[in-house]
This record gives sequence, C-alpha cells and structure tokens, in this order.
Amino acid sequence: MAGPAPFPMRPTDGNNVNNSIKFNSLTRYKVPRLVLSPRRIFSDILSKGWVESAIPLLGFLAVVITIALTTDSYFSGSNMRILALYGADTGLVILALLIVVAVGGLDLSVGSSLAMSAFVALYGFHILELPVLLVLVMSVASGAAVGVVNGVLAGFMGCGALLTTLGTMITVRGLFTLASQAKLVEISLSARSDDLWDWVGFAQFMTLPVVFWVLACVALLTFFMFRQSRFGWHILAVGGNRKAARNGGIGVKKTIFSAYVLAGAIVGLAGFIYAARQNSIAADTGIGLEFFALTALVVGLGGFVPGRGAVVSVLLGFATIYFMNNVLVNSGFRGDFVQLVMGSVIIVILAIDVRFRKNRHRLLAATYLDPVALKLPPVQNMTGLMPSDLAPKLAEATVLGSGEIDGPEDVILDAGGNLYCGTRDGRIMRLAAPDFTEITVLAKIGGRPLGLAFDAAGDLIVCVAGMGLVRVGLNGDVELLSDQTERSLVQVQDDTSIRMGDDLDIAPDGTIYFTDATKRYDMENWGLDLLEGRPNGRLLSYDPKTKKTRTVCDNLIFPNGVCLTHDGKHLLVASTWTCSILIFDLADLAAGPRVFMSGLAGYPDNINRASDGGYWIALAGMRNPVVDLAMKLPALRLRMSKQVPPTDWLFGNLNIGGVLKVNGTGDIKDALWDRASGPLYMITSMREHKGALYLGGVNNNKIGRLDLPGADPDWTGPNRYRKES
Amino acid sequence: MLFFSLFVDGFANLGNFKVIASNSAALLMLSCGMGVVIISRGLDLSIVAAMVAGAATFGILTVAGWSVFPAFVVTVLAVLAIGVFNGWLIAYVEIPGMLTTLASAMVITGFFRYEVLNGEYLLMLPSDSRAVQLLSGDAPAILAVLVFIASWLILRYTTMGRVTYALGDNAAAARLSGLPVRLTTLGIYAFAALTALFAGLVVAAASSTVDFRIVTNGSLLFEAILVVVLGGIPLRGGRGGMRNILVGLALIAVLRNGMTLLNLTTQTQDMFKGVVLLIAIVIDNYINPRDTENDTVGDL
Amino acid sequence: MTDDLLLKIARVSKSFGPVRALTEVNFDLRKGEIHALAGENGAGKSTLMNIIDGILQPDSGEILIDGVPQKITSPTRAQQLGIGFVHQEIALCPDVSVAENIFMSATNVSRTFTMDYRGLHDKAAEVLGRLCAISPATMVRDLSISNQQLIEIAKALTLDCRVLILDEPTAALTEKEAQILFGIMRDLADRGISIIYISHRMVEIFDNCDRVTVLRDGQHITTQNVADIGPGDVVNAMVGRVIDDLYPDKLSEVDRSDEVILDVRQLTDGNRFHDVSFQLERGEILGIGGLIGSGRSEIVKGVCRLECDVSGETFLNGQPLAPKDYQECIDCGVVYLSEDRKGDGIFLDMAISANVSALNLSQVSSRTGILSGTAEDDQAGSLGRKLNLKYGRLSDPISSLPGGNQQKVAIAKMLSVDPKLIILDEPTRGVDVGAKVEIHRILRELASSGVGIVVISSELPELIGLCDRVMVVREGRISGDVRGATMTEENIMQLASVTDAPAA
Repeated sequence: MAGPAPFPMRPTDGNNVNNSIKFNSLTRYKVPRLVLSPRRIFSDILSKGWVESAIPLLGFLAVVITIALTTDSYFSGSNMRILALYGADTGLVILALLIVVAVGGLDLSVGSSLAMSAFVALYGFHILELPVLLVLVMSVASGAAVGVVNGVLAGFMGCGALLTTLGTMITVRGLFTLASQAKLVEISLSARSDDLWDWVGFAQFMTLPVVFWVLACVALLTFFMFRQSRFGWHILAVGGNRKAARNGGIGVKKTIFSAYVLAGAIVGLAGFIYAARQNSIAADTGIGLEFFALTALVVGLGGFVPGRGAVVSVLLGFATIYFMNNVLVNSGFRGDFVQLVMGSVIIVILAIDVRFRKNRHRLLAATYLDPVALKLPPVQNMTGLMPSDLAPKLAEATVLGSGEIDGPEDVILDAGGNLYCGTRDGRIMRLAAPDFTEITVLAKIGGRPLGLAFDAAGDLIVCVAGMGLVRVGLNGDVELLSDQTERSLVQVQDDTSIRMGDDLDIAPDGTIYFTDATKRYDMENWGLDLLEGRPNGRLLSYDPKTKKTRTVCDNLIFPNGVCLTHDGKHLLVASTWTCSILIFDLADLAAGPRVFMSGLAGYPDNINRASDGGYWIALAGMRNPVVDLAMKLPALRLRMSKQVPPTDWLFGNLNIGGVLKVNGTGDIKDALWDRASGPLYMITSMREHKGALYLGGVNNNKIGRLDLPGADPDWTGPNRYRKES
Repeated sequence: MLFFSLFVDGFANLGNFKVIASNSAALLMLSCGMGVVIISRGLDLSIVAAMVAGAATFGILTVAGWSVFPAFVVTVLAVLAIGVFNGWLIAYVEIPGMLTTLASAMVITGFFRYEVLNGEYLLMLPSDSRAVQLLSGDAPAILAVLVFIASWLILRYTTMGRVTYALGDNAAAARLSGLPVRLTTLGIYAFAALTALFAGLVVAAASSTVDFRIVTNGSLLFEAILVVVLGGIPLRGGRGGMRNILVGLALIAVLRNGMTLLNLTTQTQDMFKGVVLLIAIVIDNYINPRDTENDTVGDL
Repeated sequence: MTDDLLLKIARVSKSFGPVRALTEVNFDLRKGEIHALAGENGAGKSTLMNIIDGILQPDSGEILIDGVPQKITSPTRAQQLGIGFVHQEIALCPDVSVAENIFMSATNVSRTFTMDYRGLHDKAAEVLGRLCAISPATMVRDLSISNQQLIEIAKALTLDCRVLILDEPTAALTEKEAQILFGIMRDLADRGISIIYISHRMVEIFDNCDRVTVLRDGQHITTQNVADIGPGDVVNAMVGRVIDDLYPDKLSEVDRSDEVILDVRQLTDGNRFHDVSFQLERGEILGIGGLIGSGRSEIVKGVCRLECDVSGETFLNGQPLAPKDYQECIDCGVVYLSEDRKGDGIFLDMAISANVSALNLSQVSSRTGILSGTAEDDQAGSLGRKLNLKYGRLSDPISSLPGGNQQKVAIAKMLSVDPKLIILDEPTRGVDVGAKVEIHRILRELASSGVGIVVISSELPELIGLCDRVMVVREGRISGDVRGATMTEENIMQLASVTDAPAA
C-alpha cells in the first residue's frame, strides 16, 4: 500500500519556524452572534416553569389594557387608593384560601368566618370597649377558631374538605346571623371612636391605605413562607404528594391542620380590617366571598392545583377579577351581567388550562429538537490516507486494563508514568506504572468524567459531563471548580450551568480553557445534538486565581477537544459535527476563531500535542456521504427523529475510528486506523508519552498502547508543559 | 325522630307528616339528582341554578301564551342542554366537576337575570297560570315519587346506572373495562338537571314565583348535599342508593320540622343544620374510613 | 453474635380485618449486613417493612433496637431511630425539584425555620453524583421511571440511617444502574449500616446479600446464611412446595401448531415503543418480560388500543384487527387485564356478579339498556364454577374476597366476553400461592382450548415456569425471544438490560 513512512517523526521543537502558525492568514470562522429560531424560542419558553402562570398574567394584562383603553383615568391615584382600600380584606381571604388549597384542601367557610370575625371585632370594640390591639387579637382568634374546627375535621380526622368547610360555613353563618341580630342595634348606637381604629380603617401611609399595607405585608410573609420556610415547604410537599410527604416523615395531618388554622387566622385579620373600615356589618357580609375568592384563585393559578404556593400569580388573578368586576359595575353593568361574565371567564380559563397542561409536554417534546442545515466541506487532504489505503496500524496496539475500566473517554499520564482515565460510573482510575496492571480508584467524583489535564501543581483537572470542572488531587481529594458560567443575555433557556463539560487544556498562565459541548442535551442524548446540527456549544475559561468562569466563545458547533499549540499562544478546538478544527488566538480571544483544519474524514474528538511539534487528533467516527447529505436536509432529520426509532437513525459510523497525525500547521501527515474487528474501535482520545501513544475510547472497556518508533522516547506531556511555563 | 315525638307536642300526628311530605317534595327531587351525581363521584353545584333556570323558562313561556305541552318540551330541552354542557366540560374538556358546576351556576344565573329578568331576582307567575294549577294539590308529591322511582330504576336496573356506580367506585377501572364513561357522565349531569327542573316547577307553583335568591343564598343546595350525605352516600361515590336518599330526607325533614315546632328561628335552624352536617361527616368518616395511608392527594 | 444485633423483631402479628398479614414473625438484623427478605407476593414482606418504618402498627409483638424495645409510631419516629426506607412504588412530589425531593426527610429532621435551598442543591448534586447524572434542579415529573427510582434511592442515602430498607429497588433499574446500587450498598454495609433488601431475583440475593429470610403467607419460614444454601432452597421455602407443582405442564412439541392467533407487525406509538412485531401461536402462552418502564405494558395496551395513536398492523386469526378504541377491541375478542388490580382493575365496592359483567353490559341487558339480574348471576355463576371461585353470595362486594379470588373474578370478567385473546399484566401479583397455581392452570387450559394468552410478568420464575416462549422488551423494542432451554433468568435479564448507546 502506498503512503508515507509509518511514523515520520521529527524531533523538533514547537518553536521551529517552519512549524509556527500564521494565525492571521487563516480563514475566519464565523461564529453566529445570536442563534434565533422561532421554533426554539417557542420550545424554550414552553420548557420554563413559569409558563403555566403565563396564562393568568396574559389575562391580567388583557384586562388592564382593555380598561386603560376604554375607561378614562381608571388607573388614577385616587381610584387606585379606593380600590386598595376596599380590596385588602378580599385579598387576605384569597391568600388564606391559597394556603389551604396548596396543602390539598379547600375552605368554603372563609366568607362566614370573615363575617364572624368582623362581628367579633365590632363587638369587642364597641360593646366591650376593649383596646384596639386586643380587638385585633380577638378577631384573629375567632378566625383561627374556625380554622381549628376545619383543621381537626379535615386534617386530623381526614374528612373531606369540601363537606367539612361547607358544614362550618353554614354553622358559622348561622352563629353570625344570630349574634349580629342580637347586637347590631347596640353596635350601631355606640359612638366610641379610637385613633388607632380609625387609622387602620381610613388612614393612608405612604399615599396608600393602611389596610393595603397590611395585605402587602401578609402577602410578603406568605411568599416568604412558601419560598423559604420549612413550614411552607411542608405545605407544598403535602399538597404535592401526601404519600411522599408521609414517607419523608412529614407530619401530614399536623401540616394540614396548621394550614387550616393559619388560613383561619388570616381570614380573622381580614375580618378585623373589614370591621375597622366599615364600622358596621350587614346580614350579607361575606356572602359569596368564598366563590369570589375561589374564582380569583382559579384564575391566578390557572386551574385548581394543590402543591403550588404561587402567591404572585394568585394576587394577579385577584387583581384581574377585581378590576374586571369593578369596571363592569362602574360602567353600569348590573351584578347579574358581571356574574355571567365571570362564570364564563372561569370556564374558558379552566378549559384552556386543562388542555394546555395536558398537551404541554407533548408540544415541548415535538418542538425541542430543531435541526438546521449544516453543509460540510468535502473530505480534504486525505489522499492515500483513508482506511482503505493504509494498513490498520492500531491493530498492533497492546491492550491495557481490559474489562476493568469502563469508558475511558480521555487518558493521561503523570510525570511518573502512571496512567489515569475516567469511567462511566464517575470514577477516576489509576493504572500504575510501569506495566499498568495495578488498577486502583483514585477518586469517585460522579457525573461522567471526560477530558483530563494536569495543572502546574500536578493535580488532575477533569471535565465532567453533568457537573462541570473538577480538580482531583493525586491523593484523591475532589474539589468542584466550576459548574456555572455567566448567563448569555439573548437566550430564553437558562444556560448558566455547564451541561456537558467535554475537554480542557491549561494555558501557561494557568487559565483553564474547556468546552461545554452542548447546552441543550445531556450526555445520554448527545446524538440529538448531531441531529440538530446547531451551534449549541461554547468554549469557556476558568481562572484559578479569581475562581471565575467566563464564556470565551458561545455558539460553537459541538466544541469537543481542546489543545494549546506548542507555542502556548493559540488554542485548538475541535468542532465535531463540522469535521473541522478551529483555532483561537489567546492574545485576542474576542477576535474569534479561525479555521485550522476543515474537511476532516471523520468527527474529531480530543486533540493533543505530539513530540515532534505536531498534533494528534482523535476521530470518534467516520463521515459518510449519506449522513453528510442528511446534515444538509433539516426537514429530513426532523421527520426521521419523529418517525424512526432512535436506533435506526442515520448516523456517522462510530464503530471505526482512528487517529490523525498532523504537523504544526495542520497538514495531515499520517492516519492510524483500527481494524474493523478491533481491538479499539471508537477512539476519542490519545496521549503521547515516552515514545508511545495511549488511546482511550468513550465506549471502550480498555486502553490501547501503541509504540511509536522514531518518536522522542523522553517526551512527556507534563515535562514539556513545565518547560514551557 | 323519637326525640321530637317525645318532646314536641303534636309532632307525631298525621297532619304534620303531610306537611313534612309536601315541603320535602322539591328537596327529594333535587336530592335524587344530586345523589346520582355523587354516586358517580361528582358534585353538581349548579343544580339549584338549573332548577330556577328551568322554572323561569317554563314560567316565561307560559306567561307569553305558549300552551303547556310545547312550553314544557322546550324547557326540558333547555335544561338538558345545561346538563349536557356541564357533562361535556367534565367528561371531554376534563375540568374537575366541582369547578365546572361552580362556574356554570354563575353563568346560568347571570344569564337568566341579565337576559330574562332584567336584573330582578323574582319572576312572578300569575296564580291562574296553567302550570301553577297543574302543580297544586297532590301533584308535587306524585311528581316527587315518580322522580324517585325513576332514579331508583335507573340506578338499579339500567346499564347507565351500572356505569354510574362503576365510575364512582373506580373510574380508571371503568375506562379499562371499556365502559362508555364519557357518555354516561353526560347522561348523569343531564339527569341531575332534569330532576332540578321538576323541583323548580314544584317550588315555583307553590309560591307562584321563581326566586333566584335561592341560588345565591345557597341553603337549598347545601340541604340537597346534606340529604345525600346524611343518608349515608359517601362523597367519594360508588356506594349507596335511593334508599339512602330516603333516609337522609326523612332525617332532614324531621329535623327541619321539629325545629320549627320548637319555635327555633331560621337562623338557629341553619346553624343546627351545619352542626348536623359536621356530625354526619364525622360519623361517615368513622363508618367509611378513607385509605389515608395510600392516597397521594387529599380528596375534597 | 447476638451482641451485634441491631434490630430484632419478636413475634410480630398484624391483621387487616379478617386477613392475617403477619403471624408471630421473628426477624433480626445484624450490624453491617445485607439481609435479603424473600417471599412471594402477599407473603407479608411489605407489611413487615411498613411496621419497621412506623407506617403500620403491629397488633402484637415487639421491636427491639439495640436491645431496647421501641414503639415506632410514625415514619418520623423511624427516622429518628435511624431507619430509612426506599419504597417500592415511587412517591415523589412532581412539582418539586429533585433536590428538594431527595432531602424531604433530611430537611424534616432539621429544626431551623428557613430552608437552605442552595445547600440542598449542592448536597443533592453530591449524592446524585454517586448514582447518576441527573441535575438536582430538574422537576421530578420530567424524569423517566428509572430515574425516579434512583431519586427514591438517593432519598434514602441522604438519611443518616443505621438501617436501610430497600423494597425491590431494582424492578425499574437497568442492570448497570443496579450494579451501581449494589456497589453503594456494599459501601454502606462496610460502614456498618445494615440493609434489608427485598427482592424476587435470586441472582441479586445470592450475589449481594449475607443472609436471607423467607416469609410465606405471613409466617417466618427460615433464616439462613446465603453461603449455606442455594437458590433452589430459597424458592422452595418461598413457595412452600416442590417447585414442579407450581406450574402446569408446558405445551409439548407435538402439540405445537403453526396456526397464528395474533400477528403484530411493526406496532409503533412513536414514543414509548417502536417497531414491535411478534406472533402468538395457537396453544402457546407467550410471556413478555422486561424492566418496569421498558414499555412492555404500553405495547399490549397499544395492541388493545388503550393508548391512542398507534401505527402498525395487527391480525387476529388472520383477520385485520384495527379497532378504533378499546371498546371495539373487546367486541373483536381481545381483552386486557391490568397490572394494578385495585387501582384500575376491579370495582371494590361492587358485587361479584357486577364485576364479572362489567366488560360487556350488553350481554346481561336488554337492547333498551335494562339490566337483568338473573342473566348476570347466571353468567357469574357459571364462570365462577369454571374458575373454581369461592364466594359467599354473588351479590357480595368483591372486597370481601381475598386477593386470589379477586383476581379470579377479574379473569372471569375477561372470559365473560368469550375472548379470542387475553392479555394479562402481572396476573398473580398479590395472590397467594394456592390461587397462583390455580390461575396458572386456568391459563394453561385456556391456551389449550385455543384462546390466545399473553402474560406480562416481573417475576422471572413465573415467566419461565408458565410460558412456552418469552419475548423480552427493552426500551420500547423487542430485544429478543427465548424458549425452551434458553429460558433462564440470566438470559432474560441480559436481554432486558440496556447495552449502552454510543456516546461522545
């Protein structure tokens, strides 16, 4: 077979003039500033947690805009103040209802309870002539008492919440009517007034009514409770899944009971406010309030869902209903029409919500994958180097650690010649020099360790898919260096966390450059990223001095292997799906990458320096014309992803890979292929060390070792690195 | 009952029983409809709204000069439409029954008061109206008995009744048995609306008015639920039958009547009803304990 | 060795109404051992574990921890005593993040008022790192079944527990994930934590456990060192009779016919199963094996059109079978028995006869929809005799029957429509051994009489003992077919476990 000599090694240094890189003469590689696609934006929004609360927000905005357009000066200060004054107690009741609904219950007794505690307040103030603070306590206690009854029955005894609170609703209403009939005249005759009482009822504080501030405070506290407090979390857990909560040791009954009592107390507070504002009660006080509150809740939560403490959404829902109600009444529509409108609104919102909730995941799954055309240049500079042209040199490799290591994506050797690799189950293994038969676990880090590099201190830096960047000391210490980078401003999807840290290299100044191969898919689903063919990855850097991670270059297409050039001034990054190698100038990273090599015969994975001033490039798989064609046809790939099972997808050939040997300027000098029958199959990394090449493969259960006759027998990565820095 | 017989003079005479019976006719019919819905593990909060809506439709049509039969047919169709709409929202759109009927009650009353009554609560029927005359005397009681028997037959002897029980017992199993679950849900809510119509006609005839306030003050709705629950039909459905409705009705009627004879005010009566409901819930909970160890979400 | 006993259960009994779930059960657990608990479904394993975890209270007997009698009144109390429990069924809050779910118990122990979400997140990442690559911020409802199972396990690992109970944790795990779990179990045991490991799979017990206790019908049968006995002994102890009696004779080679009852071609739902093709021959019982969540139930539901949107062709006795929904499918003579009997199989409060007739009410009613009680009773009575059903009266609610007879009623329900093909999902779950034998016999008789029988089961011995051929499903596709001598637990498990997809 024709071809160059087996291993044309030249013991030259990287600074050799012939081998130096003329960065500025290379073709620019255009990195898209912004990756925008309607489909992606849609699916990203859909995947957001808040999307379910978006419907209430849209409803609110629609109502506000309609009002602003049709009613003059509705949103004026004075009108808002009036609305705030009269809406505060209802707002409190809605918050109370939210707490009960969040725990998985329902409270119909809020209307009666509000009336009752308003009565208690008036009775205490006018007839018993108690101090206002004591009146407040009595009011709250009255509401809490109703909560206790509800809580005992619905919580401790496990009775149905609907019926229980229906019962307390009727009972309390009866009590209220009896009591108010007996005392109403007496109350209305009382002339007692009190500054504090009037202050609560009428005064303004910072231009808004005091009662509004009460609502605001309670809302804030409730928000805090659900977000931060243990009790709020218990409520959500019980509402979300009682069994899980019980298994988790949460006192389910106690939590339900407490939620009812807390809700009752808030209703009591609302009753106090009502009493202070109205200074009277009527037979119909609080009648229908439970339905109004339920409506607001349903509108705000977008349905009737336990286990969610969405205070803001519910208040938005309240505001929507309240404004709508108020405007309709103000515009001369009668209560009956308002009722008709509100009923219809609830049905429509519920219908939309139920359907949306049911189909959201289907919709998301159908839109997440968004392929784009990717045109690859034809295979270049491979004349006489293709697998059919050359003897499979890797077939001569000896096999190390066979069956004892699982999935060494990258391999590395320390100065002492010990070999390290990561495994599928998240360990770093150490194969001791010189014969590599003694295999020990250096550290367990979890995730999926991929790229490896030694820093100046001799610690191992590891890129871990699903975690980020991890430092592993040779004594087994593990430290997470980075799992987040700064958020890009133009993405809907939160891309701060490093999803698939792939490979890294360390610059002479200590900065660690590493790749996040794809921001959109997990390790198991990297194949979907190929299917998409979009620039989903990025190059990141971590500065150990400042411990800051930043994004060097976003929107790369599956950036994979990272390697510093021999002069330490440039950075090579493999862009796997484009079958090309990009190069960055470390002095001017912002200028963006240029194309170092393109039109490779396979999908490049890791890159490493060779002793002769050139580089080794692992090809994880070979291109084939069918896949190249498919990459140009996004619609075809989309259809394939929907209609063909994943195992039958068109894919690059991953069972045969190899290693390319290139010189310092990127001319391919040799190719090392494996036989179709192995032993190494897919190659994802290689490391030259003392005249031998060590080969890892992400799906292999072994490491290959190939002697390199003619290579510098003393050259090692770490030594060389030290010499440079 | 023994309690009232002993302590209230004149409780246990025949005349009193007759009063109890006629007062209770409307409630009985409502409870039949509610009972069927609850057995299917649903809840119809719009039943009283359907009741006044039906009565109002019929009243207006007859006042407008329609003869009884076509007016009745149109009314029945209108009320069935309400029931089917509820059922459709529940079975096909899959909104929970309680919320659906809560909202549809608002829509129905809002619509009638806005479109038909121009904001009024009351629709007066002339006392010489054919409807009023037809439904005087023993007619309400007979109608109630007919509705009761019809409910009993449906539940006991028809496939629809069987599916109703199956739905209440185990809705997932009903679907997995290939039973016509959605269609039956439509039927159940339509049936409930129909019983509500008859109840509405009886009440309207007795007072010559259709009063929409009974929707908002809610006590009739709660009373219907009370009858079902006191009778021993658990809210989670699947159990009980018309016998339980009768028991519940007897209890509540006796309670109501006895309290009236004790000269308790309506308010006190309401309060007692609430207490009785709470006690009934506790007893029901004791007799039919829920499997609280395994439920993941609390039942309402 | 008594001094290093951590947990001792002495003469514990428990009844549920008339049913005795546990009778005077003794059990002890040493420090740092992995103790397997074996037993058929319904043998009382879960009841015993629920008692240890405080979910259930024993009627009599006592529990000693470190030699001190303890009353475990609630799971909270159990936690305080250092008992962690990974439940068989997954109970997670769907709208709550993975981290919060994992630390549900741990946060409960803490007494501070506010939650430390950041700390939670970090600690969760650490725990998860050992198990799998799941981001702690993911919402639980977005996870696959097997990942949810891992979260359940992660939950227990976060507890600072001395006793860890694992109730069939591997049912939904791939072999690889299971191996990771076993590694972790070993680590924990080496640190002195005692593990109670409940499993059906003999291989797992014999590869990973130190001792094994067998329960049968609520009674303690034996406790042995794993080294001292063989899998056959454990199976015999579990079943309580020589294994040969448990399963009827298989279809002999002579009786095999080439007649195909069911022919499924390229059935796909585009989501959970793909390109499923198989045939069922007359007289044979076809088993379907695979992990929970592998899509085996979905496939048969697809055949019955209980899942919408399936494509592919199905032929029943040579005729195309393309019903638009399950109701039509029943009319065509194909019926499905669900795996979750109480959840969606039977109507607990309804009469036996009503349960039998539920599949096709038109058989017991007139054309106008009026039910006939006598027709119903006749139907239930004759099917009941055929299946040797024991009952008081046909009008009794089915809840009055024990599990085995409930299952017979469910089978009677399927037979009521004279089916041509019956698909049974876990037909003997929660059924005592006697009824199990009978159900197996009934299925064999049905198969011999020409009814097509397809059985899905997680119990490998059942698949191997009952079926003539077992088709294994892996990730929604058929990964293989075993029959005759190749039907072994190892082969089936191997086919069921994932070979890893290529990764970069």
